[in-house]
Amino acid sequence: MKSDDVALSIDGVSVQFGGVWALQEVGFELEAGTTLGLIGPNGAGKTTLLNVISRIHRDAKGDIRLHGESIARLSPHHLTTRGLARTFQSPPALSELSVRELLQIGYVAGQNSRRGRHRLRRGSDDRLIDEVLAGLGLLELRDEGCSSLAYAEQKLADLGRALCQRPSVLLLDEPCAGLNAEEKREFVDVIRGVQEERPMSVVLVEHDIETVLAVSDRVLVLSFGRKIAETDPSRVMDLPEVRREYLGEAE
Amino acid sequence: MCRRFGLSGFLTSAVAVLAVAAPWIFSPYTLYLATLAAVYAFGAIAVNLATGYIGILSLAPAGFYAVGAYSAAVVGPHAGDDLIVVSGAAIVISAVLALVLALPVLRLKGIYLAIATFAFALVVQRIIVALDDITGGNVGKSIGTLKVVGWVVPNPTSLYFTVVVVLAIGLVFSFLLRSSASGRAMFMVRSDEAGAAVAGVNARRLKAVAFVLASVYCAVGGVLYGYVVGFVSPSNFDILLTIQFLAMAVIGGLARPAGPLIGSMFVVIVPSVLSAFQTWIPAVYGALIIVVILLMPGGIAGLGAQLGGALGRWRASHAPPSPEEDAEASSSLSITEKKAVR
Ligand SMILES: Nc1ncnc2c1ncn2[C@@H]1O[C@H](COP(=O)(O)OP(=O)(O)OP(=O)(O)O)[C@@H](O)[C@H]1O
Ligand SMILES: [Mg+2]
Repeated sequence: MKSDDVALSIDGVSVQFGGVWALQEVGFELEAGTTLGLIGPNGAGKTTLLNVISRIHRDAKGDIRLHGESIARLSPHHLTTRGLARTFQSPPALSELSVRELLQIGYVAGQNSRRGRHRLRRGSDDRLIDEVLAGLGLLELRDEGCSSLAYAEQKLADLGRALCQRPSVLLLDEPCAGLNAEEKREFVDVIRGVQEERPMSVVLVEHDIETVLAVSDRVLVLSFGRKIAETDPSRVMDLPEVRREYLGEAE
Repeated sequence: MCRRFGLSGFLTSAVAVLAVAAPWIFSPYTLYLATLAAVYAFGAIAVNLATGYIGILSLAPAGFYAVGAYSAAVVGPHAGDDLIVVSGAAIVISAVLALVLALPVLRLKGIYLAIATFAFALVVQRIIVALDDITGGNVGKSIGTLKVVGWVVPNPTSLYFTVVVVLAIGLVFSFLLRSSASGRAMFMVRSDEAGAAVAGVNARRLKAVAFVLASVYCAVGGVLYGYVVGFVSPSNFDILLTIQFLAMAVIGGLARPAGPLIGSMFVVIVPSVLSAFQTWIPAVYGALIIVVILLMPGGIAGLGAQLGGALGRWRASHAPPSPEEDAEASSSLSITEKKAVR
């Protein structure tokens, strides 16, 4: 694969907490514009992997390249200027910010981006923000305080903040937890909609297997910090580990 | 938006009208208190910026306030007691000190940060005592009459208006900051520093900016305090002053731009209004503060949002639940509709 086509490459990433390996020699390549589903049981190391990629967790072994550049020396806030965005498994409790203000933070982070520097005319930030809000069904709530929203809505608002960055690589940590079936479908539509418009690579950590299979081009299975498989979505349910986890089958 | 800022907006306008009319409706003593409240408000704004906006629990304000007041006492005589020159000097000195202090101290958090900044305030006080040749040491030093670009500020009323104008500029700036990109980023840092960093915010730099800004507010307030009171001594700038600023900011409403003004009026003026109660002043005053803190977590300036929220909940619990079903019908927009009536 040419390095131009690889948005994110991870090689030999290991993390230890106390004596326990949260991640062991994990690696993958994420092709530009594609989606990688990341699944695995609780405690498998999925969030830890996203923390390593977004540089919140800094003492990991291994090599991480974003658009071919090593991010080993960068701080989290540098990564937004290189096109990386991420959401959190539990959304930050933002007591004094409205939904719109949260998305504005994402927009400003995207404005400083080297990639896709798109200084827009004044006022058009409102248009982008409203578009994102409408896509997520949050338009009517834009002036509400973030902490007054329901949990699922807070997660959607956090996703909106990440989308307003117009990222080239988006890391999502269980975005569908707490959403109902309809909302999950809309989430899939939103991600697909963005990807149709421009190349955006996505790493999707999600327990809802249907959603993962619906949006992923590849699926990586983690278990106890190890990568036990990386395969096409169509083959995922053939894996014995996955069948055991999701269908409750005995070995 | 309207609901959130409705009452505090109304209060702010009321305060503005009162501020202009004050010299004609208040006794000279009350006017002096109002002037004092206004110069204390700078310290409360500083606390609001550092603690309310970005979440740094700093106990340095009294130290920077002292820097300002002693700029008036020491630099003032050499600069013709000109507000612009003395404030300029105080701003430069405090900004440099704050920046130097910020580098090591802002790595700390919570109580450790509080203690480290408290140490700074203590050191400032000790240095003032040690340099008694120029500062007057423990005895203190009297301060001349304020001038503004050659115009001698002649009487308490014009001194009051001078302070009010400078305070208005400071307040406007803190309002603008609140709604700016930096202000939003500060609020995110306060709630979740790691989250803010991932959202592209350089939290460390932003904290330093907030800390320096807060220090500059203190220094300017200190300069005006010096000219209003006319005399400074190191004991004016102990931890109690910082606690007072904290109390003003919290009572007024942390994180709300109008909070410091309301809080400083409350802390300075309410005790004198209570003077009818004579010996019971401290107890009544203390009880009032506890009532405000208990009943109004958003401070007095947060009362609007608090009442709005309560009203919203009351309405929600009394509203007929029908629109939810209608929303389900229009399938693709269902999230929007449903959220709207949530
Ligand atoms: N900061 C930490 N300190 C110590 N151990 C940690 C820390 N963070 C994670 N771990 C451990 O590392 C392992 C991986 O955790 P991680 O949160 O990455 O799992 P996960 O796959 O995201 O799980 P879940 O599906 O429950 O979110 C777990 O055993 C967890 O207890
Ligand atoms: Mg997790």
